[in-house]
Amino acid sequence: MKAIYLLYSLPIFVIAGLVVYFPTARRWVADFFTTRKLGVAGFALLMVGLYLAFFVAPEPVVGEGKKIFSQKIFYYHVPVAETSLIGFILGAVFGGLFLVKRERRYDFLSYASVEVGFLFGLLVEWTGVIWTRSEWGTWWEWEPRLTTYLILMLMYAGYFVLRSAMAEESSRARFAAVYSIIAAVSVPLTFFSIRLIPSVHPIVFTSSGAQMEPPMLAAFLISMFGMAIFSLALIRAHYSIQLMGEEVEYLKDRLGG
Amino acid sequence: MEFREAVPYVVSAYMGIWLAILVYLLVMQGKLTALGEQVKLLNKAVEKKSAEKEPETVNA
Repeated sequence: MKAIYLLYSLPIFVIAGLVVYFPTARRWVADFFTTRKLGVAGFALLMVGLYLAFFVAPEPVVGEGKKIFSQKIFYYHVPVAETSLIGFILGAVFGGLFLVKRERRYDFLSYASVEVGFLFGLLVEWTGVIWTRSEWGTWWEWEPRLTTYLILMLMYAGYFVLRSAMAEESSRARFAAVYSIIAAVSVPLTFFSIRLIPSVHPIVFTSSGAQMEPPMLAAFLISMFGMAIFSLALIRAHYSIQLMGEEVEYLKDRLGG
Repeated sequence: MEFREAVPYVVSAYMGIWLAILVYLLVMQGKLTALGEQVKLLNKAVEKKSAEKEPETVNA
C-alpha cells in the first residue's frame, strides 16, 4: 500500500525538482501546463472521482448492516483539506523565495497560493460542519482537528488583513512573506493534531495504510489529484491577474511620467 | 443516519464546493476582463502620447 503513495507522489517531486533547478524545464512546464489545460484536466479528474465515489465505491457498513451514505462527503472533503494545506505551504515557500531573491513574482505566487488555500480552507470548514452535523449530530465539536483548523484559518484571515492594511508595496510583500512563513507552522500542527491528541475525528491514513477498500481508495486518489491540479489552475489564474495589474500600474506610470 | 436523511447533507456539501468555486472563477474572470480592457486602453493612450512626442523631437 505504501508503494501506491510513493508512486502517487513521485511525479510531483520529480517535476518540482526539475522546475526548481533548471530554468529551461521551468519555462517548458510553464508553457505546457497552461491555466486552461490544468483547469480542464483537474475538472475532468474531479468528475471521474465523483462518478467513482457515487457509483463504484461502496459505502462503509457499521453495526447491523447499516450503510453510512454521508461518508460520500469524504471524497471531496479530504482532497479540499489537503489542497488547502498544500496552498498554505506553497505560500510559505514562495514567501521564502521572495525574501531571498526579492523578485515580485514570488510575492504574487505566494499571495495566489495563500488565497486559493484559504478558499479551499473555507470549503473544508463547510463540508466538515455538514459531516459533523450528519454523523455526530452537532454543528461543531471542540476536538483537536476542528479546533486547530479553525485557528489555522483565523491566522490566514490575518494574512489578508495585513496585506490590505499596508499600502506600500515592497514592505507589504516583505511582511506578507514573513507572515506566510510563520503561519505555515500551524499547518503540520493541524495535520498531526489527530495523530498526537486523542480525537473523535476519523483517521483515514494510518501507519498500516489506507483504512478503505481499493475502489474507495481509487475514487479518493483521483479526487485528490484532480483537486490539486485544479487548485494549481486557480493559482496560475490569480498570478496572471496580478501580472496584469502590474502591467496596468506600469502603463499608468508611463502615461504620468 | 438513514440514506434519505443523509442525502440533503451530501448534496449541500458538494453543491457548496462547486458553487464557491464557480463564484471564485466568475470573480477572477471579471477582474481579468476589466484589467485586459484597462491594458488595452492604456496601451492606446501610451501609443498616442509617444506619437505626439515624436514630431516635437524631430522639430527640435
